[in-house]
Amino acid sequence: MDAPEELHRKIDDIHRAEWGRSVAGLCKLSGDVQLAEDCVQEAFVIAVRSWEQSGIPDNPGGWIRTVARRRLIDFARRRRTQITSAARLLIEAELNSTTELDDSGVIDSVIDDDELALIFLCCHPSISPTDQVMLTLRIVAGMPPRDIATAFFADHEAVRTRLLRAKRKIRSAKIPIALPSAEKIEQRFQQVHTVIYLIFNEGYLASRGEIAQRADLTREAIRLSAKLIALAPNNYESHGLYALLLLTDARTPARVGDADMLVTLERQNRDLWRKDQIVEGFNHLRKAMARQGPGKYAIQAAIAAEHAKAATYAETNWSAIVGLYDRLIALENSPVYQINRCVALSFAEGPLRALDLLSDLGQGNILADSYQLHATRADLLARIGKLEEAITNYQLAIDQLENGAVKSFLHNRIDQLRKTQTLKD
Amino acid sequence: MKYTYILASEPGAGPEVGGEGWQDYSTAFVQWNESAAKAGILSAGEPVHPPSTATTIRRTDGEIKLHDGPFAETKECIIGWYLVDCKNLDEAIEWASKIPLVACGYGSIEVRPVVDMSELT
Repeated sequence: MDAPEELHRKIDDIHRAEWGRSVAGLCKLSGDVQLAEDCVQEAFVIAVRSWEQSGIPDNPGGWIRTVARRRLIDFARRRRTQITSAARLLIEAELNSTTELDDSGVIDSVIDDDELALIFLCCHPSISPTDQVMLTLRIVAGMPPRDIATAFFADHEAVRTRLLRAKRKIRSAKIPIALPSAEKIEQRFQQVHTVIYLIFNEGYLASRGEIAQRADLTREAIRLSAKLIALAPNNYESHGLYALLLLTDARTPARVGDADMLVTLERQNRDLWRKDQIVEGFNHLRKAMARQGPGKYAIQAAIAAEHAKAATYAETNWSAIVGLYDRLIALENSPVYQINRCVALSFAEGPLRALDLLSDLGQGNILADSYQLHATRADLLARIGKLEEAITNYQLAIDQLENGAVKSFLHNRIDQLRKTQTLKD
Repeated sequence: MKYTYILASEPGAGPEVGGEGWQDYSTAFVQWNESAAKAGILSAGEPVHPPSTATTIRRTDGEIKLHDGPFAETKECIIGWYLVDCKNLDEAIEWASKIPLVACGYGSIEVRPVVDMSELT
């Protein structure tokens, strides 16, 4: 028998591993996400009580699904009118066909397909991007609404309402819980990648608040990405996304310094980078790059890999990185990629050339007044000794920011430049 | 599962009735109608006259009042509707995307699930 603390840690792991697949199965049966979720939730409550007495069973996932399915059938019997007639028929058919409800004999791949279908459901293009993110965290990852609200600095009640409305749309509009058709599947994978990437980014560069990073979200995104690969190993770009998240997240111990201050790549202590994540990242990057025409996540992962390969910042292969940005921009001409290419170019060919390029970039697009553009220009100006202009540009960047950690990072830069100025005077 | 398609476009978008390109455009609609009917998803559908022909009826101060024009002043106006019966939203979207109005880029289609009255009782 486990100590209570150990038991609850194990139940947490089981919750994480079994939540999505359990909801997926019931969802397929009932066509109702909310009902499926409620039944699985109840099953976990019953599980905790029961397992505290008698220990964790051999097949905890099967145990949960059996109990959850009984709850669903009870519900269908009691409240016949509240579920759709199709769902009622399905449940009754299931009830008649099996007397023994243990699913330990069910082939795993069937559950895998259900779980993959559930991910596609949460990331359905008819649902708004914000709702896709919240649904995925709630329904696939099993994150409680309260935690989602905390992670996104949102009101708990507002998150609950949003989730309810989205789930009602799934039911009323009959968004199918099914794998997309062959001609749509590539596009739908992209949608799933976007959602996972958004979750990671929100955690990696928390857009508001005072802290630099939200590990709960980055960890959840990495887990979702790993799950996607386990469910559909033949989608190469999923490997690219996973590699990108691993290689980026590997720097975390060196990236957030004392007093939650961000440390730039240049000053990070590379010995602190997580070696195991880097090795795993390289493995998946190789798979993603092996195919013809790797996607945008694979190429960004290749850029992160260049940094991981360099023993020091000075040894970075900047021209390789510029080349990779060229490939990335050919795929998707995003202003953010353009700025990052500019930074790489400033190390490959000098800051003056990069400054020229940057002033062209800032002409009449969404970046014109962005903090990225101002901060990059400030960095470049500081490098060529134009300190006063650099400070002005840092200030412009600060004015655009909401994240406290990034703000204080830029304030620090200004202080440093002021010191250098006084030394020179 | 029943869905309505509400078709809307901005005035002046697409070929004018009887004007250049009209023949091809209306033929494309006829073809869509035929293939949807053949697939067994099409229940009904009609184009409607422009909003300038609309009369809106509303009870105000206990009296039925009439108002010249549509109930909502929007940039896009309703130009027609369909009632279809599809397996799920994906199928409904698939069919709607092929309607010449959106396929040619002249307007938009709102896909709305129809309430199943038998499930309300």
